[in-house]
Amino acid sequence: MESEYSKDAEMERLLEDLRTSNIRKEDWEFHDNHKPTYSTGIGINRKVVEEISDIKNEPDWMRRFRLKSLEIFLAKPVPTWGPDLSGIDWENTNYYTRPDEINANKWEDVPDEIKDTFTKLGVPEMEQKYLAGSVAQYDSEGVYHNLKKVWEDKGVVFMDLDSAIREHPDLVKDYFCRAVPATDNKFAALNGAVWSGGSFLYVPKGVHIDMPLQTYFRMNGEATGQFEHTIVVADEGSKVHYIEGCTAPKYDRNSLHSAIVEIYVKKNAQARYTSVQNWSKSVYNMPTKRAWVDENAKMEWVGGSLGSKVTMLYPSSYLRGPYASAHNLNVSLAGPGTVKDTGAKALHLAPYTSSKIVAKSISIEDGKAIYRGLLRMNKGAIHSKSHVQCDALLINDKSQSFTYPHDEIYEPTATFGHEATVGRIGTDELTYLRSRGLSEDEASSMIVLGFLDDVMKEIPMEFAVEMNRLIKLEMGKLGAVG
Amino acid sequence: MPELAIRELSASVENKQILKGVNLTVRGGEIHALMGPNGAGKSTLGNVLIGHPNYQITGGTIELNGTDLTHKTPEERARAGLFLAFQSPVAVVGVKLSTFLRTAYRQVHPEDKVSLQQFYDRMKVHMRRVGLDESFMSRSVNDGFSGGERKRFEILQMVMLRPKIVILDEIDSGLDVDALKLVADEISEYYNDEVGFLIITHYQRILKNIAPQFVHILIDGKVAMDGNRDLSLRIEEEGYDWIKNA
Amino acid sequence: MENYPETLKTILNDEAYGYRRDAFLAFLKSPVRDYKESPTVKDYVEISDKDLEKMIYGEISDTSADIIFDQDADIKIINDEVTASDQLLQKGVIVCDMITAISRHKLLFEKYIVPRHGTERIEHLINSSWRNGLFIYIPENSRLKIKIHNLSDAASSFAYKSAIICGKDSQVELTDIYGSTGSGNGIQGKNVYFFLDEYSKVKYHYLQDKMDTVTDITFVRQYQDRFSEFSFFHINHGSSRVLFSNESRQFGASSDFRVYGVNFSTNSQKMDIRDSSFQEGVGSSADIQVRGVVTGSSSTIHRGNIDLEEIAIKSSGFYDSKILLLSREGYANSKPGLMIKNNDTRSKHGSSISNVDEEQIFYLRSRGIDLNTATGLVTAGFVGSIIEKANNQEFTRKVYEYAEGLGINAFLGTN
Repeated sequence: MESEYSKDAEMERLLEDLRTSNIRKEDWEFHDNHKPTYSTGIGINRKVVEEISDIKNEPDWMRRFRLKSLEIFLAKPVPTWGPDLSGIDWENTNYYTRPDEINANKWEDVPDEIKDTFTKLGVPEMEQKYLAGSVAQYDSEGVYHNLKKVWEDKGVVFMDLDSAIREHPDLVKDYFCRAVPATDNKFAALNGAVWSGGSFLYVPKGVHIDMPLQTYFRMNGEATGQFEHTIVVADEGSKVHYIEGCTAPKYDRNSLHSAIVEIYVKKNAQARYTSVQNWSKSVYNMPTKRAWVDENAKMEWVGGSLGSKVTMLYPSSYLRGPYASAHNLNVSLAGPGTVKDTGAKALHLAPYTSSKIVAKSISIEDGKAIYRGLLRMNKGAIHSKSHVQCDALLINDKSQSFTYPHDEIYEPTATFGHEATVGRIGTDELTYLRSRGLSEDEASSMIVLGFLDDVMKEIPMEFAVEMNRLIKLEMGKLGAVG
Repeated sequence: MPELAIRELSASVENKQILKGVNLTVRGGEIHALMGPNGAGKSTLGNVLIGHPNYQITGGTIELNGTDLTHKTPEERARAGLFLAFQSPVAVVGVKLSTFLRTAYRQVHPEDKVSLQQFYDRMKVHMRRVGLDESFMSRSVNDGFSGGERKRFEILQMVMLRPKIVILDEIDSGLDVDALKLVADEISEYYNDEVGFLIITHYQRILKNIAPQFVHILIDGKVAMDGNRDLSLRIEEEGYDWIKNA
Repeated sequence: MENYPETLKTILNDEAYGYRRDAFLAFLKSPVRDYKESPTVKDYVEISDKDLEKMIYGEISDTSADIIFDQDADIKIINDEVTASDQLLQKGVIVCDMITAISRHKLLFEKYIVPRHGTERIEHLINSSWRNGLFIYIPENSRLKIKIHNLSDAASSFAYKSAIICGKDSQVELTDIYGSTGSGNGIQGKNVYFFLDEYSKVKYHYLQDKMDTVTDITFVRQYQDRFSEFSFFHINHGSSRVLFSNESRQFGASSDFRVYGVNFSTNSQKMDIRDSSFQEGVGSSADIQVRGVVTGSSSTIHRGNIDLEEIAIKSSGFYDSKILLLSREGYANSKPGLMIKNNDTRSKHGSSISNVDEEQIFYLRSRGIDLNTATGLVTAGFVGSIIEKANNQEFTRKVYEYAEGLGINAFLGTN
């Protein structure tokens, strides 16, 4: 039978190959057979990129940058070390949605599941439409104008990146893709080629902005969120808290997302970046987020990853000056059928730097939560310290958790520790709460929220409230828990 | 007769000035008590005297029998005859009590060619006296010890290593009444004309068991008042405020 | 490597040919970097294809005349020559070399070895190219203490495969010591497979102290049936490059796997020490504790996965790595992993890398102990507390000897 698999035949064939040709063995290795699926014409190509640049009426340097990024994107293979990305539909992805098409999301087209969740969460209809992508802007102009005046007087620049390139080209050029160059990874290169939307925030020396700045307040932005590029610069001695995203599910027809966030925390400055994402469950979410942290500066990443089909996100801090510090707090919720491959990176490049990473994950049904991290102490990063703590909660018997930290220590005076635990909701705790009259669902959500407590208290109130509701909702859907 | 002379000693930790010119002399046969409110610098003084690397000496001198110890390493100070019983001794996992003490003894008293067996026998006698079971010999230094056990072990080290000047930093904390008596007895037993004591304490508890001839009050990094036992009694009744206000 | 298939067909065309061929196919299919879920493609111990060729073709140098075996060794192995004491053979234990075993104990070979393949690339290659090895069969209900002393010339290169089959209810304590004679930079690979029948208990004491020019590649696998227990004490001290991979295959319910590992990398040694559990058995447990000490310009990486499969409910897995990094030029990495696929389990891992604790050193110094001695004591305590659990005086002595021999005076965190 011809179709029957024969080991001997396979062996013979392989041996024949070896004898007769100079094929390098990489060519027939089974793990590395990816070929770019698009070359010209479909999905993304030079023409598409040039068109984006034309529409935006960009300066020449940006156009050249986009084209260079495109080359890098096409040359880089899809990473195979993480989750399965074979489901990304490169060809049928819209790489750029023209602003006038944004409203094309008809409210009627939004899946009932999403609408249902909105209703359960009690989101007002106007906001629902914004979140569903059927309205481009969220009307917050009134609030925005007053605040804008106060900030502008202090020299704060806060606008969408497209406008910033036009209005403050030199300032933008100083920071654009310095922390995340297009060569960094395939998805960063993709963003470089087709980026659109995102914020530019510059806080001058010594200016403290006490109120968190939210994307809600950004005007004229393109609300695609698909290939955003955000830059936050906290100049020397300044202080800022930037918040992005929303906990309510956000519907998007496009299945591939790849944002870039670059944060520059200058000497003695403090920056906190909070993001919560809840994309619909068709989305591959592949952002690259990175901070450069200078002398005695402080960077805090607070993140909640709730939605999407697959998320790969590792906010990184490059601790470049003495006494620089980074703190990551992250919560991932891997719902049914989804994969959260999240983590953090901290690179200690200077003496007396410190980092602390706390990651919590919850897996529901067959959800898969992965922690992946890199911690490096370079030679010369004397007396630097780092601690990494990962805790995973598996709700159901098929839930999965994976932990892959990677620690490289080249400095003998540095101190490093990593700890990870995986567990489930304890029967004892559950029984105790139920014996006090709580239903099983209530008791379970209470325990889950307790598990998340140290992250929850760092998240802005309105986010925490919504996240609570969302987790209860997800748990409620499951019925019996355990 | 040994003499520890502390002159105009100033020291800082993490660039914060804690000691601001301390003067104190402890001779053989003398028992001194150093008292003071929290944060006065009492424990800092102990750590500075034994040479803790986190503390920087910014001025003054420490001399033992005329030898300048100000910039010496901790082991050089120990070999010169200085001993500090720590307030919270650190655990050293995997290093056995017996190995530790034998190694220390050999380096402090190289002249004593005591055999291993003799040394361990001697150790066992003293362990009984301070109330540590023989089984502790093969345990790791301070690892999993209760607060009281740590203090007993500090006293054991003192009698084994035979220092000339002994500094006891809050030796009574973590000890119950019986243990306190046991420790105090061991200290009294060890006390003679060739040994001087500096007892650092916040409360007066230990001083009921070991009577000091001299009492010094440390406030804000300086010796604010010297006196005798009556001073410590007054402190017990009135606290420290009256000295600050004086 | 191109000519290897011919070698396979001619020289290695013995009764294990089918097994060897499958292993070679598996090798061809394996990715070059085969450690599970690696986020960074980086080999910490670089072993080139040229090295591997040297290993598979083999090159046995004559060992020097003055071979000194441990007098109390029950099994003495020099190159592929296996000598077992009469006492041992009288107890019904089968001891022979692997080549003899595949013809004389064909049934055992087919029952235990043939169905079990490796997981890693080089392991597959060794399974294909082994020239010989040690075969031990321990009958049911045996109570045994066996000491094995392996010697080979440092210039020799070879791939060996050893199999130790422990019958039902047997209890065995094995001490397995690897050393070198002569000098040279051989590439020496070995797969050591244990097959534990139900209720068997094995204590395995492993010491690798070869010449510091040799490359040592070792894969240890434990196929554990239900209620079996495996305790593994390993020390890696010798060789210039060490790739040591230890991974259980706990298919049996309630199987227990314990590892206490210690390694010392000094001078320019490079060590990749992997200890993992793979648990499919219900109620299985794994507890792994490894310690490493890095001096000179050497490097140590500790890796270890706890892999709890979907069906392994009521199981637990723990991994703990600690590395002391004592020199400016040295480096230390750790890469523990948890792969938990059902929620009715308990698992945890931890890793730390640091210099000796400054407070501990200070405490010892305040009692008159000099800096070097203090560091030596703390280091010895750090590794000793792990290996002492073996209750093997020879091993305890060795560990303290190694710790003291480090000559830690080049650099310390303070002063």
